Amino acid sequence: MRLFRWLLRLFPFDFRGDFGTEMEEVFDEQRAAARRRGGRMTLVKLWARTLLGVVRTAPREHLDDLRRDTAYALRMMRRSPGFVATAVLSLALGIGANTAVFSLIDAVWLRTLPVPSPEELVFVQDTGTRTPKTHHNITLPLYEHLRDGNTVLRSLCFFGALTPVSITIGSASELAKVQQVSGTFFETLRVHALLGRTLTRGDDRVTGGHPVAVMSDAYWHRQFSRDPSAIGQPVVINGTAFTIVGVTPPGFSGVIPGERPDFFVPWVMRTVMPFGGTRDAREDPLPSIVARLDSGVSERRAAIQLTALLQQALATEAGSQLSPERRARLTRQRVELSSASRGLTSGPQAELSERLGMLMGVVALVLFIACGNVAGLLLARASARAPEVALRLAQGATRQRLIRQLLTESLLLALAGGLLGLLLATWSLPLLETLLSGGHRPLNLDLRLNVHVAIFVGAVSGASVLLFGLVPALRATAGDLTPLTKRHLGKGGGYGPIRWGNLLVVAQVALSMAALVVAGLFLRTFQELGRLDTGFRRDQVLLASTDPRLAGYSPQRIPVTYEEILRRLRHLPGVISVSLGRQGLVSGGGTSGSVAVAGRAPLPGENDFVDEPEGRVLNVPMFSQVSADYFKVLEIPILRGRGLLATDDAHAPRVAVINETFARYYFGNEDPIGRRFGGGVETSSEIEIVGVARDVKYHSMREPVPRAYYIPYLQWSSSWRETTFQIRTRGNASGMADTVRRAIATVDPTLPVYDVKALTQQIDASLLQERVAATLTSLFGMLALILASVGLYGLLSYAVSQRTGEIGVRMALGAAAGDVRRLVIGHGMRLVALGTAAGVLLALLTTRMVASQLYGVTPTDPATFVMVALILLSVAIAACASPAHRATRIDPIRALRVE
Amino acid sequence: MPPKRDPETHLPLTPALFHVLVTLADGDKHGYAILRDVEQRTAGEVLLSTGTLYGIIKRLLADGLIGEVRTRPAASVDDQRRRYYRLTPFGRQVALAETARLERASAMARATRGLRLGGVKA
Repeated sequence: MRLFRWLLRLFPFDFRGDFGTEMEEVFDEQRAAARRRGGRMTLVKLWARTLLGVVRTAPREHLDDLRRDTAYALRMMRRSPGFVATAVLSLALGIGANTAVFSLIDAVWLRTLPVPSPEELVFVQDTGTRTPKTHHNITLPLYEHLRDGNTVLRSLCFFGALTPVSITIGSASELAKVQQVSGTFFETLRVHALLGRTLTRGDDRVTGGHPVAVMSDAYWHRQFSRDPSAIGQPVVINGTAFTIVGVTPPGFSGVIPGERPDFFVPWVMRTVMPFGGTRDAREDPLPSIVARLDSGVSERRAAIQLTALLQQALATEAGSQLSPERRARLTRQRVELSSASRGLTSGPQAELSERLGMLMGVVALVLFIACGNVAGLLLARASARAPEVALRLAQGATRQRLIRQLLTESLLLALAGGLLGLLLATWSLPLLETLLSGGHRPLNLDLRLNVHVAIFVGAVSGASVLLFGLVPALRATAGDLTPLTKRHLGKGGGYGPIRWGNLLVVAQVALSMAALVVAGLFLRTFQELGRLDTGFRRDQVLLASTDPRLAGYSPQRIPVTYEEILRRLRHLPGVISVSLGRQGLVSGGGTSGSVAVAGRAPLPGENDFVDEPEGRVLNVPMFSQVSADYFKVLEIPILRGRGLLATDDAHAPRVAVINETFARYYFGNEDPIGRRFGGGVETSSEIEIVGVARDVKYHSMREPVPRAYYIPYLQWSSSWRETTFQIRTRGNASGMADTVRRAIATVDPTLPVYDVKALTQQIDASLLQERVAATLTSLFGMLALILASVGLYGLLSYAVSQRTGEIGVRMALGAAAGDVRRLVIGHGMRLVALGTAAGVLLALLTTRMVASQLYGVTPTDPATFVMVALILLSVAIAACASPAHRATRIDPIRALRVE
Repeated sequence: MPPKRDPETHLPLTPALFHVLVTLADGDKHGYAILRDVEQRTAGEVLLSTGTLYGIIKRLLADGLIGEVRTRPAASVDDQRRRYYRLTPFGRQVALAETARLERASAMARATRGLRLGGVKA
């Protein structure tokens, strides 16, 4: 019997109330009859039938109730379009903001590779390797042994990092990115060609013998406008002719999210790649290995079998003379597998993820405020509908039923808000993408809505309903009915919702304050960094980079070529001066090398690893390999001695110009001119210091200027590789881009020219993260403020409408318009003051969490707090204005007559 | 006087619903009696479970096809604890309308050549 009662719980509450007892009795009789008639079997059949009946009828009852509640809710809502519009819009903004940021999180963290069954993919490593998950010591013979001997893997493959190469199609050369992969790469990933074919095992046999390439869909679109005749066309990669054999499907961009290779070539063709080496790599570890597990095979099982195979192979390699320690070490070798379903996350994405946590917090605040608005609106409505509710309660409706009905309204609001929010988020994604890709390293995130996002939106909408709908529903149907059915002049039922409303507004103001302070701090950070003096003159300088090695140049040819390029560029109309320099200039990259100064003992920790807040850092100076005009072009003042000259070439004694920090560190107050230093103790007399230059920023704007020195590129063959030209122009730098390209082409059209941009662009790009953080937090902060002020406005309007009688009496007794206005504004500003105070406390807590991301401003920066408080106050006063004005227009006679 | 309701709008009825109405046409009954009666009438073909039955009862009550009985039947037949249900006049109309509809439908089927019963077990 208890079982049946439990079964009845599937029915709606009201249904149970109406028929529950009866149903129990009927079932009781049925059981008795069944037992009498047929015994066990009939009883079982009865239970089966009853169960089926309940399962079929209960949902229908629930649906009926839902349909009725929905129809009722819609009818109610149609009567107050203003309320619905405000509520839905508030929710849409809150949910939309959260969805947009979540899409970012999804693209960076959560999304799996666009291949079939990505959960079957694993990275293969041997023990002793940590992150990244792709470093290992497995050589080709070991790999082959694992591949041939296993029964747990569907397939195995490996892939190299992306390499920049010079691509020539027809007569035009440009830089492109190529990924070298094993023949089983596409087979393991189960990716089929969009057109033509992908690489197969047959393309992997002979070193240097398979000049075929698979093109990415993006490249095909860009260079060939998706012309199918691209298949079979030749493409020259670093001087070697390849044939295009296929195109990968759109959306597929290898296994490194954020990196988009233009071409995939067989690993055996690595000999034509620079830095690819020509040695037989059989003793070298392979690059990253990925395997696809056989269906139904667990990682653990596969790892066990592969470990056994590995140990077997290692033992065979070592031969018969195995010392006991070696044998012991061998048995400790394991194969470790780790999930590759998300691919290999790379640098730019990792950087972004820091900010994302913070952003998610800010948009959560916005959502809370939005929910607060809707809760306030619902509370006000609840009190307005109080007579109706009381009547229905008196007529016998259960409280449960009414709560369910009110929650249905909230559900519909959340549904509408969620859908609109989804729309807003979709619409804002391209904007987000542009914002985030503004740097010189486009993030290449695939921002789009998918199942994850849809689930997220659903969950957030549902949570919002509970947040804003539950309390008003409970309040509306609770407690003392008398004050709700009567209208009072002063104290009484009208003040219940106002008390809650006050609380909500204070909370909203506090949250807005916190959000705006965070935004303010990020804005200041961005400002401070942007305002920093780089030390060199950044405007009207164009940058252009090239790498002659990609065009097949031997290092010896490079200096001559560079000198020629410098000469041609100098003669261009509109060019003032030209130089070249490989490193620095806030490009994010640089070169360092240990330094030993003749006649000076190194300090402890010098030239060694030291622990900095960012991690272990090598405590050595940075250097730049530059041409003589470098200081002139970038207007870096030489403070002592001289700069570099054209005569400081390969035949001249080695010289260097150091920066102030270098001078101070190694020589203190002594004159560094004439002193000597070198790369090591033996070579410490190699280089003579001829000048001291002013400190300039090297890596990035944030970091302090390091010890640095400048050496003539002509004197060091290590600089005969890729470089960047700095061209000071008379007018707008970017306008000269084409001219510069063409000028370099006249020297040699096969030279790839890339990263042509203004120096200011490069510096702005280095501040990408800060700019994004500042923009997004400001946006969301403003959103929070708007929503909170709408909440304040709503509450005050409601308060005025409720206190019409009281105000009427006051005016009748002689109160002036100013007094009434002060009453309303006083109410509002009291709440704002409380909210601001609470907000300050909240902000102090939150800003501490983002302190590490700030620059030039402390987490408790008083100026920012004051500024934000002022903004809050002025917006609040504006929000109070209209209700206050409306209060003064109350006609005392009419107000009193209604009572 | 409530506005005239058209019984046709409630057609077609599900078999279970129809049988419940027919059962009640025979006299007021309580829940269990309806179950037993339907089972007997249809010779075990239509077996209602409590869930289905009360879903039906709720709908019939809501649509005004049946009503709860305030006065009890004769003391000898009455069971004090139970609730009795009665067919309303409107409910009767609906039951009749459905019967007529079913007759029309079967007559039409019989008139069709393909379905003519001539020595073939239907």
